[in-house]
Amino acid sequence: MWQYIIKRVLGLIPLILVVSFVIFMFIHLIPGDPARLIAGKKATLEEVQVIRENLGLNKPLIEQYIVYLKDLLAGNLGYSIQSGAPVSELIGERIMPTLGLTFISIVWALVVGILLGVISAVFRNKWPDHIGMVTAVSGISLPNFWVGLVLIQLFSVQLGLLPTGGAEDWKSYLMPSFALGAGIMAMIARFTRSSLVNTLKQDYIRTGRAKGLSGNAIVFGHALKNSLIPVVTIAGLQFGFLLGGSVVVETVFSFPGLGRLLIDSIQMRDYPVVQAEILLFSLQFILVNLLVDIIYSFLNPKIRYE
Amino acid sequence: MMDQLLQVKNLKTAFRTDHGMQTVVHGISFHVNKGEIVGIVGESGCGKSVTSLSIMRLLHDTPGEIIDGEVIFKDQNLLPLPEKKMKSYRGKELSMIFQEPMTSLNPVLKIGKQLREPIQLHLKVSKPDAHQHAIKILESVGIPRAKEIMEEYPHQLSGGMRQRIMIAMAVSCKPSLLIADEPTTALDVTIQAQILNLMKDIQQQSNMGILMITHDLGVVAEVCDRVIVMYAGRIVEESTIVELFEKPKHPYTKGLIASVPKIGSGVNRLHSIPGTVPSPTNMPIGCKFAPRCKDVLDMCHIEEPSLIEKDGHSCRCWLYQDQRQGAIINE
Repeated sequence: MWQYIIKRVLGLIPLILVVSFVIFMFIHLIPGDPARLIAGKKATLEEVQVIRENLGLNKPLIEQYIVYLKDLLAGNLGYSIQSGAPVSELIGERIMPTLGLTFISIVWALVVGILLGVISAVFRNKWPDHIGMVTAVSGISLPNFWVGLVLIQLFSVQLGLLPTGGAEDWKSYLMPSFALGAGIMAMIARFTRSSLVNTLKQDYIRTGRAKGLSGNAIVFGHALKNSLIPVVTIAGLQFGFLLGGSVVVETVFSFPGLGRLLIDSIQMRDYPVVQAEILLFSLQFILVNLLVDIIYSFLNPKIRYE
Repeated sequence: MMDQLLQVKNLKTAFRTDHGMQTVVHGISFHVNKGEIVGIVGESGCGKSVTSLSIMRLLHDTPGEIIDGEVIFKDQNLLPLPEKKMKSYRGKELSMIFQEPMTSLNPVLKIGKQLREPIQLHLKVSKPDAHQHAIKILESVGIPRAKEIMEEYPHQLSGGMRQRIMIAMAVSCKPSLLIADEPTTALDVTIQAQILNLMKDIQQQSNMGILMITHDLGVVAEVCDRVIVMYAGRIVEESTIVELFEKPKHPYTKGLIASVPKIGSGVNRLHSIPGTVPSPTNMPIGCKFAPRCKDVLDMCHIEEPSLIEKDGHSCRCWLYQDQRQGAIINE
């Protein structure tokens, strides 16, 4: 088991290198010149040139990348072009609220989604199933920014119960995490349902019934573990979607997280910040996928022994 | 009457289809005595597996439904029992093993856990006791290094081993009746013989009854005391094993016996019964076997014969009813 995990972690190193290279190149392909933005509209060509040289932007891209990589390995993410503050500091301020938000979203989406899926599968084609699946379809179809706006209108403007934005206390996490998790919850519910319905048709379920097991022992003891394998895949993929979604949802709720920082930095062509953030998102995605693979091997003994 | 363990009376099972309810088991009746091995043979689709699932009331996950009849097990009709009561019979009094040992065990649970389940449930013992009991049962079905196997997963074992484990699981609570639905079909020939011998041994030690569902007359000849031949959801012949092979009556049974290849018979071409089993939507009016029968009479196309017993040998065929009853069949 440990061998497997270590092998997988070592395999990530070349992947991260490639990712960092691609991100670096893409950022520098975005049209727009940060030096000109900093210098302002009235600056002369010479002034812009000086700024460009100070930032090292006049050097060849490859050289810039090598410098960037060296700094990165030393733990230096660079300095914001806009504020001059260290990028690590900027990200550090924003990372906790975003991590909190995504964590709450994925947890409630998993718990409610799996529960809804199990109920639907067990009562398939009866009313609990219909209610569950209508809920799921709504969750998938309604875009999260719209859900966010409706929530604000209802709970903040009309009822005055919850703050419209910010990240001061637990109350300000409620609506954003609901808006962010709804789609994933729905997806997980649908996958759990179809996977469980399929599992319940398997021969070993019949064996379980022939042994005299109760319905609960069959569903929770025998079927659920088997049917969670595709669900874990989807949950992992959806997590990437969650990161993208957090950019939108954070904007709707004026939530002081990484998503908003990213939007602001892109608008200002703040290369080091954008770069660091995208690298962080990619790392997060890679780690989640690693986690998914490790969970797989717990669920499916066949993978573990290969 | 001997000690009857299981009596099936006029069992009718139907499947929900797009064309309404289709009856697939047409009111069959038979019994299994204590300590007796009874075989049900027939081609695929003749309703033999549905019969076995009906006895266990395991039609949940199929579109099937029992519409009439009685399944009397030790003087208790199982069909009207509430599901909860029925569960206390399954795995304890009535056990079942299936055709596919590869898929009949849960791939993500250890063998030990799967074996302990019925023991803990029905014998009401603690987990460590159930574990010890399971190891003993595994050893009794000829599994080497039983202790280690308890910690392994199904995919680490061969088909024959898995079928042994299925048998161990089925007999762990000492059932009075074991239903075996094609237990050897998916196995290599050499393993088949081992498994059949194992089942016979267990049967002799514990005196349980076995209902052996198979399409293989070789299996029947090997282990059964009595045989029931099914065709199109009906019993067409029933007799002791010796009588069936020596004096088969029904043309279908004769055809089945002739289809078994014999070494040294000097015949190159294998015998086969022409045609196929009629589909439930397109059943002949009279005898269901008439279109494939080489001894067919006019009467066979008009009316279905009933199952008539003589000296413990039953047969559903006009050829014999004509002779016995002296009825005029030619108008």
